[in-house]
Amino acid sequence: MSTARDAIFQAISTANGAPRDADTIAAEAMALIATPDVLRPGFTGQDNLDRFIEKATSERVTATVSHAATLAEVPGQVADYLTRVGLGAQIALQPRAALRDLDWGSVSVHHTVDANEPVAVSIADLAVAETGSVVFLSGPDAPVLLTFLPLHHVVVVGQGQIRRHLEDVFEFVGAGQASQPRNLNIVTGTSGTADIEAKNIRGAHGPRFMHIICVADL
Amino acid sequence: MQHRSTPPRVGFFVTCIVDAMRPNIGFASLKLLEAAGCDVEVPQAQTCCGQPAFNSGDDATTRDLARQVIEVFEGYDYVVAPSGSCASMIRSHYGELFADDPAWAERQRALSAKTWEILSFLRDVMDYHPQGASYDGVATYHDSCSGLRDLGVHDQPRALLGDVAGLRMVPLQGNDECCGFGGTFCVKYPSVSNAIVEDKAAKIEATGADTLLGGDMGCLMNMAGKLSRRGSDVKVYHTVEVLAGMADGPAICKPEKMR
Amino acid sequence: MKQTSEHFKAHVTAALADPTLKIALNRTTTLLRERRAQVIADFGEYAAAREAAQKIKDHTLDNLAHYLAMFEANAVASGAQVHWARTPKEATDIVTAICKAEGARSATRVKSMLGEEIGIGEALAAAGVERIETDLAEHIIQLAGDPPSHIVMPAMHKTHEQVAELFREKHAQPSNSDEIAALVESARRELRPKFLNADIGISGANFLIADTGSIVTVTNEGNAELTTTPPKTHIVTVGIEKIVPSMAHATVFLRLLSRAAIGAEITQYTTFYNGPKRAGDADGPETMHIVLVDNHRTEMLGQFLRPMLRCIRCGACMNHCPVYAAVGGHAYGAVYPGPMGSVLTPAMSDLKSTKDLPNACTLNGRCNEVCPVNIPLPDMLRSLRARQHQAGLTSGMTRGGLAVWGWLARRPGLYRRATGLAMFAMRVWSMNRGRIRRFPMAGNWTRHRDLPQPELGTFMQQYNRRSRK
Ligand code: SF4
Repeated sequence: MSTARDAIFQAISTANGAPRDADTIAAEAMALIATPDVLRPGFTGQDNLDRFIEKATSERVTATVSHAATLAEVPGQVADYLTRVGLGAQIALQPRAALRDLDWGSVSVHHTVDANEPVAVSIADLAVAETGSVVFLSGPDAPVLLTFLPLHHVVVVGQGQIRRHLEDVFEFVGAGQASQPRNLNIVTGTSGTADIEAKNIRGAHGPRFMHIICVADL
Repeated sequence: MQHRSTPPRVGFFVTCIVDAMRPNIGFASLKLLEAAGCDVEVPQAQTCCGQPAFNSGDDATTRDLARQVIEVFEGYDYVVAPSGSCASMIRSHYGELFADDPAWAERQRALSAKTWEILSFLRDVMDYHPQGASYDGVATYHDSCSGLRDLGVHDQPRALLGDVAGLRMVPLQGNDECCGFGGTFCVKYPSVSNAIVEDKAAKIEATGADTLLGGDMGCLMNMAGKLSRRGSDVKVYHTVEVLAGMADGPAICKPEKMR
Repeated sequence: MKQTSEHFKAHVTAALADPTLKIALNRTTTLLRERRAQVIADFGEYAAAREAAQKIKDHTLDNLAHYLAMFEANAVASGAQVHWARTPKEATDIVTAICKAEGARSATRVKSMLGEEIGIGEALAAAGVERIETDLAEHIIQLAGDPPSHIVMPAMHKTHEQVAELFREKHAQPSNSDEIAALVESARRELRPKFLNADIGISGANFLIADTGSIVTVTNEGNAELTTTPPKTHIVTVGIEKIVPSMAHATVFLRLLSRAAIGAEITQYTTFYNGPKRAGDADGPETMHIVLVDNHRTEMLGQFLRPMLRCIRCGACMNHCPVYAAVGGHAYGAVYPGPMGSVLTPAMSDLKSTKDLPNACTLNGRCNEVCPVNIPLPDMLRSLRARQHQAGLTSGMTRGGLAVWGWLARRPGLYRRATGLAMFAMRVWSMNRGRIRRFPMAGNWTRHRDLPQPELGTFMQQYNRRSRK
C-alpha cells in the first residue's frame, strides 16, 4: 500500500538476507529469556508483601503504607489520611463497584477528576514486589487520568494481587494483542523529575504523594 | 610462582614514548623482569606499535607497523611492554587489521595472545612479589584507560605496590576516569584535553598525596605536565620505577639537579 | 534543529569559556554517575542482564522484517493506524497531515529524541500548530529557545539559577524562590491546564512490542500519560529499531534503561499503549497513529554501524564521557550529542560536515563500559576515522605527519638515530630545568602543560651503550 513501507522492507532484506521461518525465530526469542531469574534482582528469603512494602516506602519511591483487614476498613483509613494531611473530606473515587459500594460515611465522593483534583482513591489491579509498583489496567471503570491528575493518590492493593516480578504482571495480562487494555500503567511511587541539575524533586506533573492501603482480604 | 625448568624468554617492547621520553621506565622494567625470573631481550628492530596511525584511521600504515612488530617479536615466549595502551594495541586491536589476510591473521593471533602489560604480567603470569623495594611517601593511583578496560589492569599494581616498604596509598576520586591524553587527541583538541586534565590535576592535588603513580607514560606525561604547569609539588612516577627502587631520580617534569 | 557539527571547534571554544555551563555540567554528571554506580552495584544480575539485552536486540535486528510486520498487524488489530516514513520529511508530512485533517490548533508533546531527529517542532510551527512541550526539561528549552543538550535531560546545560530567571520572565505565576522544588511547582502550574485542552498528543516510544502491537513510554514525571490521554488524537513517532519481541523481553530493558539513565531501579511511570480508547473506556484518544521512521536505520543495518541500532537512548555514554562533561551537548551541533551522537550524526548525515565528532574522543572506553547494551562505541568511532581517512578527509598536516613518521618507524636504524637527535635537541632546549614550558612544533601541548626534559640518550641509545661495555 505504501511505497515507504515497501522501500523499508526492501532495504531490510538487502541488509539481512532472506527471512527465516517464524517458528525458528520464536524459539530463538524464547531461549533468550528462558531463565529469567538470572536476569532480574533476586530477593530470596523475602516474601512478596515484605519486599513490596520495603520498595514502595523506599527513599526513591516515597509511598506511605497502612494495612486493612478487609475493604470495609478502607473508607475509615481514607478519612484518617485526609485528616492527617489536612485535606477536606472529598475524594475522586475510581468508579468501580467494589469501591462505590463501600460506606463512605462523612467522606463525599465523586467520580470525575478535575485538573486540580486534590485526592483520588483507586484499586490497583496488581502490584509488583520487585519494584514496589502498582499496576492499573484502563477500562470503563478505570480512567487513566485518575492516576495522573490528583496531588494525592490513595491506592488500595490486595495482598493477593502482589506479583513477584514485572514478568508476572505481563503473564497475568496475557500475551497477544486481544487481551490488552488500552493502557497498562505501571506506577512506581509519585511523579518526579530530575530535569534541573539532576536533583530529584517530587510532584512534577502527577501526584506528589502516594498512600497505599494494603488489604489482607480483598 | 611459575615453576619452569627454563626461564621464559621475554621480548621487551620498550614503546616509542618510553624510549624517547623516559628510558628509566625501560631500565626499571628490565630489572623487574629479570628479578621475576625472565630471560629478557631487547630486539633492536623495534620502533612503535602503530597506535598513532591506527587511531588516526590510517590502517595501511598501521598494518605495515604491525607486521614489523609481529616479525620482530613472534619468536619469544612473551612480549612485555611498560604500557597498557601499547600492549592493548597489540593484544586487543591488531586482530582488526588482518581480517582479510589469513596467513598474517594467524601470526597476529599468536603474538596477541602472548603480549602483556608489564604490571599484570609480573603479577598474573610470574606471580612476582617485589623484594626489598621501599619508597618514602604517600601515593595515589591513576588507572589508565586501555590497561584498565582492555586488559583488566587494576588490582595487580595495587598488590605489587602493597609490598613496597614505606609507601602509603590513598584513593584518587575518579581514578578510572580518562586524564584527557588520548594520544593525538591532546594536540588535536588541546583545549578540551586541557579542561579534562585540569580537572584530573585538581583531583590529584585534593588527595594530599605527594606522589602520583600509574602505568602509562603518555598519561603520566600529560598529568605531570599539567601538575608542573600548575606549580604543584606532586611527583609523578611510573609504577615500575617505584617497584624497582629506581624512583630516586627526578620525577617526570622535575629537574635533574634536584637529585 | 539545524545541524552545525562542522563548527564543533568554535562551539568548543565558546563552551569552555562559559563558567556557568561548567557548573551545570559538573552538578549533573557527578550526581548521575554516582547514582548509576550505586544502583548497578546493587544489581547482582547486571552482567547477565546486559548480555541478554544485547542478544535480544541483535536477535530482533536479525529478524527485523518479521517483527515489524508482526507489530504492524497487532497494532492495526488494536485499532491503531500505522504509517511508514523513510525520511524526516516523510514523517513530519504524515504528522502535519493528521493535524490538518483533525483541524488541530495545539499539540502537547512528550519528549522523544526521534521527534527531535525528524524536526517535529519546526514542522508543527510551519503547519500553524501550537506546540506545548510537557517534559520539564523540554519546557525549559522551549521557553529559552535552546536546542536540547542531552538525550535524557535536554536542559542539562542550565543551572537552576538560570531556570529561575527564565521562569520569572515567562511563567504566568512564577514562584519567587529559586529553589528547585519551587521551579518544578511553577512549571506544574503553568502546564496543567494545557494538558487538558490540547487537540493532539504527540509522543515517541521507548519500545515497540511485536507480539501485542503495544508502544511503551517510560517517564518519571507522568507527562506522557497526561499528554496522550486527554486529546482526541494520539500520534506516536518512533524509530523502527525500537522493537522487541514481547513484553517479557521488554522487562530486561526496563530494568537496564532506568538504571543506566538516572540510577533508578525503574522509572515512576511505565505505560503500555494498545490502540485508541476501547469501547466504553472512561478516557483516552479516539484515534491513534503510529509513524514508523527509518531515517538511515536500514542503511546502518547493512554495515559496521549495525550495533548502534541496539541503542536504547539511556544517555549513560554521555554522562560518563570526559569530553561531553567538559563541553556539554551543544558543542556537537546535532540532535544526538556525546559518544552515541558522534556515531549517529555522521551515519545520519555525512562524514565531511561531522568530521570532528569521531575525532574528538580519547578512546578511553568508558562509554562502552557503561552502555547497557554493550555498544562498542570507541571501535565505531575509530572505524569512522578510518573511513574519513579513506575518503581523503584527514587534514594534509595529519596525513603528511603520519606519512613521515610511518616511513621512519619502518626503518628502525634510522628511527633510532632520528629520535636520538630529536631528544637531544629537546634536552638542550630544556636548559636542564626538568620541564619545558614552550616548544616549537609542540605548541598545542605546551600551551597548557609542560613537557618533561628527556634523559641523556633514548632508551635504545643507553641500552646499546651499556651492553657494549
Ligand atoms: S549508546 Fe549505549 S550508553 Fe549511549 S545512549 Fe545508547 S544505550 Fe545508552
